[in-house]
Amino acid sequence: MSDVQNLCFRKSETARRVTALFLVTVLAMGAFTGARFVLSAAVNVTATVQITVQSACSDGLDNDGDGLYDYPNDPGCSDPTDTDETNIPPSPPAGGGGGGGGYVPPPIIVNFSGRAYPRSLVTLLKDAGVAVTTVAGQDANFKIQLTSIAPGTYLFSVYGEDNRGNRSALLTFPVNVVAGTVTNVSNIYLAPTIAVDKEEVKKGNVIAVFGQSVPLSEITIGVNSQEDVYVKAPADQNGVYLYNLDTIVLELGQHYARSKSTLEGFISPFSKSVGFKVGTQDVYAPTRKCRRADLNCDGRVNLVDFSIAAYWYKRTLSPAFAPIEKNRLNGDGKIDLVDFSIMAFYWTG
Amino acid sequence: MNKRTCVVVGIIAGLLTVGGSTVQAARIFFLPQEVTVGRETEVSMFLDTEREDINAVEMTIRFDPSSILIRDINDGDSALALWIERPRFSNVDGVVTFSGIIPGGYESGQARLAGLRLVTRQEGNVEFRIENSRVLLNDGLGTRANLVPARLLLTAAEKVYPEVTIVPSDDTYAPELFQPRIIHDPNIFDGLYVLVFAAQDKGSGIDYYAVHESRTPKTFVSDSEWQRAESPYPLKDQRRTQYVYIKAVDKSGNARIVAVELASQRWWQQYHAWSIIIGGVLAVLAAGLAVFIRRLQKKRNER
Repeated sequence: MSDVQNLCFRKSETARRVTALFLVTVLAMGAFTGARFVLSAAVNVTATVQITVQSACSDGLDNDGDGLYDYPNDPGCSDPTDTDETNIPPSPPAGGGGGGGGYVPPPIIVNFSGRAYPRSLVTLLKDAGVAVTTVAGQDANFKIQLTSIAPGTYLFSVYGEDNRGNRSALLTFPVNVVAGTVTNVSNIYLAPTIAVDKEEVKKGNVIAVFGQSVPLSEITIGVNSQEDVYVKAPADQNGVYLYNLDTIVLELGQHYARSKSTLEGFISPFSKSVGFKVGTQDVYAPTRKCRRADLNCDGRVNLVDFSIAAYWYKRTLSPAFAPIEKNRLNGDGKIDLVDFSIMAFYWTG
Repeated sequence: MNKRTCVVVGIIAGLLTVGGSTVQAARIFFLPQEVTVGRETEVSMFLDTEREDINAVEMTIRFDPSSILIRDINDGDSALALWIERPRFSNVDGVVTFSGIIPGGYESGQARLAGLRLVTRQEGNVEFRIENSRVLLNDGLGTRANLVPARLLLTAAEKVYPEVTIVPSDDTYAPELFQPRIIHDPNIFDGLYVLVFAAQDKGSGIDYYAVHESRTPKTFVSDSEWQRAESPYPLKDQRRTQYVYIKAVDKSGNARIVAVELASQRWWQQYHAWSIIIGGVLAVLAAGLAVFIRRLQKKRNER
């Protein structure tokens, strides 16, 4: 039984709002010409992520290291929207020569902040590679600062790992990084982690659905059925939630559960889906040695697994690799785009 | 409801269904869609996800080589963070192919896939046909998403305003810092030590990679010592005693060099250890020689 994403669920309204927010942000940033930019659209929606951009001449930092900062203090700033604090050197006198210093690109800073789980490991991916890992505080809040990157559009992803080693779904968002600006990505609210104690449950018995989120948040658990079942459970002070679901309301067959977290008007995206079967017996969920798409079984899905799959791309699988493909990818006896898509879904960096 | 009404209702329902699915399909488009004849222009190929969460793309695009000449493909600043097959083109066969993935998926609107640097040979509409291509949903199953349209049109005019032309690249940024890994897995190159890597460049795109293996640590590697390489790269030194350097070079010539940490070495395999040993031996020999000469002089003086 796998914890594949359940297609029976509709996309959440929050996800759509976040998508719209990203779209607005990206489009706006595409037209960004250095002006101070605050995404006012974020004020009226329950956003998971808010992105703001500050120019070098209005970010409160001494970007060029001359001891002066921002407009009008720094002579390198023509106005508050200027993206470069660097002082323009005076023109050399006519007839004379002069040496010049090397060009120093204006600095770029990207700040990330949000909520994960208490004392959890939070990983920030930049274009699929691990950029930074940090540990969230007891209140589940985390902050990450990224510097020394080039201008361009980046795909940043954030995920958390709970106290049982379960990982959240990746929260991915594109950010257009502009030279000489400070970009703040805030209000990140990671989806809860989720797991079940049985892979098969006898109809009428109880299955435990549990995971971790923000302390004292309200967890909504959804289970697909002929009529979808939604229940609520509180997260405790450590963010842990547990709901014993009576399966009498579920029909026989395969089901998927997922959860989301709500606190102070903020709503997380839905978690990954976890599958279980309602049948005629109780079968406890085994401890998996190797997770889906983890081809070298090191607990991560990253460039190494990608490289192994790429090696077998359009090749006949060896007898040793065929069972791995069968158990951890889509099991069609070959490596193609579908296997890479599965890998991208379970990516950890 | 009579038979005719049923047919009409059925047709309308069918059209609505088709229309609905089309609206939700991922869409490929060019930007700009108009170019000046005979002028090299970079035309970006975008994927509009139409609110679908997409994580894998495989494209084969055919064009008429008598209408278009493709000079290069810029894969910098692409949403496809990892290439399964980097963009390739043939002006003989009239085809562009590439495939890649977006770890974590992308549903935020318009994602740039690649930039085609091309020259149109004549005025009018130039057609690109999308064949054997697919985009997959980020659902853990690799479910296929609808992809439209089947063909793309690029309009070539005598003069287009505002002009979009290729300007000399002002990309002064080196490729992003990347983390190559040396792996040793029975399922890749029969368990040989293999170097895997992937760098990103937001400007002109990665041009090539080169690898250098050295017995000694280096602060400079000459051009002749680099060897072009692609990931995965089986190392020449399978004893893992050599220092490995990898260079990612973008199409503007900016380079990023990264060293891979050396695996644990025996003490006699370490360059520094031998430096210390030889230095120590020389010091002892020098000291012994000095003592010997001093004693010799002392004896002479005593005589």
